[in-house]
Amino acid sequence: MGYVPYGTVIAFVEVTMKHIRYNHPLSSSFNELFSEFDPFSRLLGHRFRDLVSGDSRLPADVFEADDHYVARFQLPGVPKSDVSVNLEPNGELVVSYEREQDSEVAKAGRRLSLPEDANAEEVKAKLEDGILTVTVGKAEVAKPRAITID
Amino acid sequence: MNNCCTNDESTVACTDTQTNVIFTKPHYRAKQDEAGYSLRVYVPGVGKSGVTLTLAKEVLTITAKRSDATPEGWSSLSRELSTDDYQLRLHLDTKIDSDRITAKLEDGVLDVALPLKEAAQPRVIDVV
Repeated sequence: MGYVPYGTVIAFVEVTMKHIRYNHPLSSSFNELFSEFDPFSRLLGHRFRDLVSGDSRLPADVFEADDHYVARFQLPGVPKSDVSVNLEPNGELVVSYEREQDSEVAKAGRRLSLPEDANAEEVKAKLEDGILTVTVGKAEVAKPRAITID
Repeated sequence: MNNCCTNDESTVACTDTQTNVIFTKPHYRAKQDEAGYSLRVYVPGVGKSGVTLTLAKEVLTITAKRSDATPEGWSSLSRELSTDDYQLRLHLDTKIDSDRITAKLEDGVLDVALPLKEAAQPRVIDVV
């Protein structure tokens, strides 16, 4: 097959994953789900990595249910107090943790863009058996109304 | 469940009845100190009842089954996490005292203590 430059492989993966997404008519902003930038590795440098995945970017699962979205992360051995879950004003869900263990510092995080109908007022997070589950409710979306012309 | 062929008192071979199941090897770290070895195995998604440790012919097999299956009615928008159960097989040093192996599971991390046999521990010998 020949040598493929690293940059090209990453781009290919990004494109493929975008096509996996569920074609919800209202989730146009979901294309930003896989940001090309990993803000954490730029800020923290490559010295800080998640002890399990070996990367500073936390892998995540994202699901859609009838009335809410769910994002899941793997954080084994990380206590609740070391984890921060934030919803930024621009609608991005930011999850990160910092933990010192066995004289090593592990730091990792992830930034996810939520779809337009995600309701920032209804965010819940649960950490159990090393799995962090963040639930975001869906806002009522204004339905199109037919307007009669006088 | 294991099918074990036994020959008198010793277990000769064990085959797993679920030979078609795919397991993923969990990340783990091993440390050594004077008293023996300690193992830290990362198994997120596994609850207390999901872990089995078996020791047969110096091979320690740790199987951990996840309990975080996605509920019905959830559609996947992106999947990056593994859904496989975990299995780790380690060939143990004969100096380990298999009767005193202990394991603790908390927050998706399994800590296993593998102490050395009494006779194998370092001893200080007095000079008379």
